[in-house]
Amino acid sequence: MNPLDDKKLFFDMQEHPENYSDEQLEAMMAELDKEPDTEEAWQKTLSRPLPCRERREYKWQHKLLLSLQGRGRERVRIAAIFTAIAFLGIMSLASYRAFFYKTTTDNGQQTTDTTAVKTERFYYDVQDGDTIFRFENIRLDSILAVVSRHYERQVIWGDKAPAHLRLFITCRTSHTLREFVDMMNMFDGFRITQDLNILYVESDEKKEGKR
Amino acid sequence: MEREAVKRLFMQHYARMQRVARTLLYDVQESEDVCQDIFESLLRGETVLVPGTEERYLMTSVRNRCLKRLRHEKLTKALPQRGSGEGADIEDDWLEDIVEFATSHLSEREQRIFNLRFTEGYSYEEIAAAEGISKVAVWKRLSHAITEVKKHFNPKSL
Repeated sequence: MNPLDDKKLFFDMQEHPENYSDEQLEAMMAELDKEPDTEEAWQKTLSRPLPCRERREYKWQHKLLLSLQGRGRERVRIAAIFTAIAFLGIMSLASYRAFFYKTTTDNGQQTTDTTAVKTERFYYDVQDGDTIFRFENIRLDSILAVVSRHYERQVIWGDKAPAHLRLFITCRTSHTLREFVDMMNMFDGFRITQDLNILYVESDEKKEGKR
Repeated sequence: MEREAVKRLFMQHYARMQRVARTLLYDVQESEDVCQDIFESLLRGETVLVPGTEERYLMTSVRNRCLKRLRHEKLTKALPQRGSGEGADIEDDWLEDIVEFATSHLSEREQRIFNLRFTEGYSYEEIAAAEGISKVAVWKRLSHAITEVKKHFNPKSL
């Protein structure tokens, strides 16, 4: 086990070093002084995404955890009741929709219901010095904010219409900016053009209109 | 601040900043977060550094941010405590008090070791070499210094 994972052990070693062997103390010191991989840490710093949103989420989760821990099983029981009610509600809604779907198709009308609720997710991974960014259901403006910082480019919006488009995309820091732009332009709804230090974004309609 | 300049500072000071953070927080992930927060704010241009003050700024920032986290997460049992509900700038005064106490109540060698570790971010090995003693002896001296500080500022923690 990493000695830093056990804070109690650390405090005890600090307050009562006489209870520990020299080897144990040296192991703790070695752990505290372990040289970090600065290049990897630098890459992590550069690729830290949307800091404000992440921290808010962290605080929210942290508070929830503390409240569950502090108030014990009573809270968990109440949460379970609410979950059960929500589950029953969803089941009723699903039955109603299934019935409605059946009646509309019976009348010879085609109905499609492809609404899916996807959660936003952005994460990154470092592999052999190459950082891989994964954007899942993230707005185009947020993606470009992260990527433009990496390539040190400024983003200029010809029109803001495509900014809200949500994309699923994976890219690597080893990709050139050209590769990234080509990959992005495979999506419909917007076009990105590169001009010196600027990434110019406009909607497909506007681009077509210019031609 | 230019990215290359920030990178240069990062490569130069990150390891020492990590040591100060680890010594105060005893948590690898949190220590990384604290140090990366500081460099992120430099990259975003939120902080402008006066040439020649970079090292002092970075080391002071990491110390202050760690102390704020400790206060926030009520983990201050690891360090001398003061009453709660005081202003956010209390950390600076608090540390000044500790340094003042250290200079008047600890032996000269303990003062040096305390300062090298908590303010300068030196490794145990570097301190041992500078003082001409073993690493274990450094740990024990530091341990004694911390116990004295705790005893003075927060007798209940002992």
